[in-house]
Parts: sequence; C-alpha cells; structure tokens
Amino acid sequence: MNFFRWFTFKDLRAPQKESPVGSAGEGEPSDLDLVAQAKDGDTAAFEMLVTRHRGKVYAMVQNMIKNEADAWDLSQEVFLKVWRALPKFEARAKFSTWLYRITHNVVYDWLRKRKLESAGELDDGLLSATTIAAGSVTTPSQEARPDLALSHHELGRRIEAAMAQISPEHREVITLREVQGYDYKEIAEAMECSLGTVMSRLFYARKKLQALLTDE
Amino acid sequence: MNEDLMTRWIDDELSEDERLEMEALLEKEPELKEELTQMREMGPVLREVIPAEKEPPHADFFNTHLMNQIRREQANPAVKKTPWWGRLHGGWIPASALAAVLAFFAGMKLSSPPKTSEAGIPLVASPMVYAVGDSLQTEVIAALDGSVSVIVMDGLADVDDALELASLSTASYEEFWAGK
Repeated sequence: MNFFRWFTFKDLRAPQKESPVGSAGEGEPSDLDLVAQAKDGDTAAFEMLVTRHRGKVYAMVQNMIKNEADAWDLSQEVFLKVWRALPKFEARAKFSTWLYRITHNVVYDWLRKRKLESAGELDDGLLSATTIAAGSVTTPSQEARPDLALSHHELGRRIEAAMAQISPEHREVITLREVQGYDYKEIAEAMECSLGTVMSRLFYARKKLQALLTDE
Repeated sequence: MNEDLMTRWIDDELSEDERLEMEALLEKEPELKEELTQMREMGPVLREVIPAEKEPPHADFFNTHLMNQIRREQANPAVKKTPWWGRLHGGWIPASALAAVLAFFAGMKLSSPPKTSEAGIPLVASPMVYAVGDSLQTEVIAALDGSVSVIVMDGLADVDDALELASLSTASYEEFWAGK
C-alpha cells in the first residue's frame, strides 16, 4: 500500500478542470474588461485585478521560495511589473497565464540572484544527483498497516518537506498542474518551455516526489 | 514507454485508443502500473494540502503600498525603473564619490578632540562641508563636547521603494563598492 493510500480523505476536492485563476464572480467585470480599463489608466480597475489575483500569486511565490516576507515583496514586484507591461498585453493568452509568466520570471530572477538557480532550462533527463530511472520502482517495500493512517497535519508536513527537496522547476510544474489546475499548454506558456518539456518535467517531478514520500 | 504517454495517462488525458493501448502495456508491467497509479493518487492529496490561494499578510496594505508605488511612477515616470545604484553609474560616480569623500573628511575633522580656550572652554569649529551641485544641502550637527557629529545631506535622490536591501548579500555590497 502506498503513502497516499495510508491517508484517506472523506471529502477530497475533485480535480479542477477549469483554471481557477482569474475567474470573475457573477456580475463582476472579467479580467479582460479590467485589463482594458487599466490600460486606459484606470488604477481602480487595476487594483481590482490585484485584489482578485494577489492570493494566487502570493501562494505560488511562497510555495516556490518558502519565505513569507520575501514572498510578499516579490508579489508586489510581480504586480508592479504587470502594471508596467500592461500596454504590451494583447490578450492572446489568458490574463492569468500572462500574470503567471511574469510571476515565474520574477521568482527565477530572485533565485538567480540568490545563486540557487542557474540560467537555462533544466534537462530533466540529466538530473545528476536526483536522477531516477523511468522504470525504477518507488513503491514502498513494506505493506502499511491501517492504523498508520496519517493525520492531516503530518501529511502536510511530509509533503511540504518533500516539496522543499525537489528542484524549483519540479516544484513549480507540480504546483501549476496539481494545485492550480493549469493545462499543459498554459504551463508551457507560463514556464516558457515546450510541451514536451512540460510532460517530461511533470513526470520526473511526480516520480521524485513520490520517491521522497515513500522513502521515509 | 515515453514520459509523455505516462504523464497523460496519470492525468487521464489520453484518447480512448491511446488509453486502451496503454492499459494493455501496463497489464504486462504491474510494477509500473502500480507506480503510475500512485502518481495519479498523489494529485488530490496535493490539492488538499497545498493551498491554491493564500492572501498575503496585511492584504489591505499590500494594495495600498502597491498603488502608492504606481501613483508615484505615474507622477514621475522618468525615474520609475532605475534603482539608486543604477543612477550612480556613469557621470554620477565621480560626483557621488567626491561628495562622500568630502563628507567623510568633514566628519573626521569634527570627530577630532575639540580645541579649548585658554579658560578651558571647548571650542566648536565651524565645519565646512563641500557639496557637489546646488541641489545638495548639508547641515552639520555637532555636540559641544565634540563626541558626536552628524552630517545631514538633503537633496539626494530618493531610494526606490522597490529596492530590496535585504536581498543584497554582503558579497554584493563588496562587489558594488569594488566597482565590479
């Protein structure tokens, strides 16, 4: 029995088929309406966009860098860059995808400054210290006992610890797919990489995470 | 078996034909099937544990601070993107360095032991601080006993709110002052 079967939720949320980011409530202006108004200099419209998206941006940044104070500052920087770049936004992509691409760039610039990340796309097949062969087994060697069911708190702690051990690219792709519900194309746009890279990165990220969670 | 196919199987994104083909392959490789099934089961758990949305602390202030920066940029677009150290490059470097040297020299003179009158009363020298340009105003505040002296300089460009001092490591400062 695997790690995730140890823990059973009575009410697990269903996978989000629609991107939850940027959805306007009933009767509220859409993101694109607000963007159009903000482009005309309407700062109130821009602030409405900020209020609508700040929670998702902050959650993503914090999940990537694991530091509350820096996440706050970087989220500010994201929206400042969004404001400056608004004239260039042509609505070819969803606003939320474009917003996330800016978030991605801000976070990676920060990581580079911290020398925790090197420039260029990561080749998932060449992860030196963390390489796991595609066919290798990450299943636990022992059968888990039913009474080993984990508390929610313990599960959260273990997942957080495992997420902290995987690379920023893997952490990001897992969060975008599993948590934010982005589709592959949106992830490729946000992370500025090919669809093939998204598939590969997602596979190895899951594999690594699974291995870390079952190794304990 | 390629990663693309396995990823889309985990996410239930395969076409019907692909799915049937994949299922047939997995029947021959039960260990791989078990592993991919575990990866599939990981998704709902991650969604349960990792928040998709989290309000930043002091969310109202978050907006206020941001909108203030934007209004400042709107009011003064010329300086919006250049950090203070960027403005030091080029012609400003000699002027800034000269101002710093002169200010330092004045501070050194002030911090030396005060002269005294024949009656033993401390004499505070009238310091002269040379500043570059008309816009820079300086004021020297000195304690009578000469133990403390402060030079206040007005007219320097504001430090950009976007500047993150905390993000500059000691090494960065050293490289900056070394001119690297």
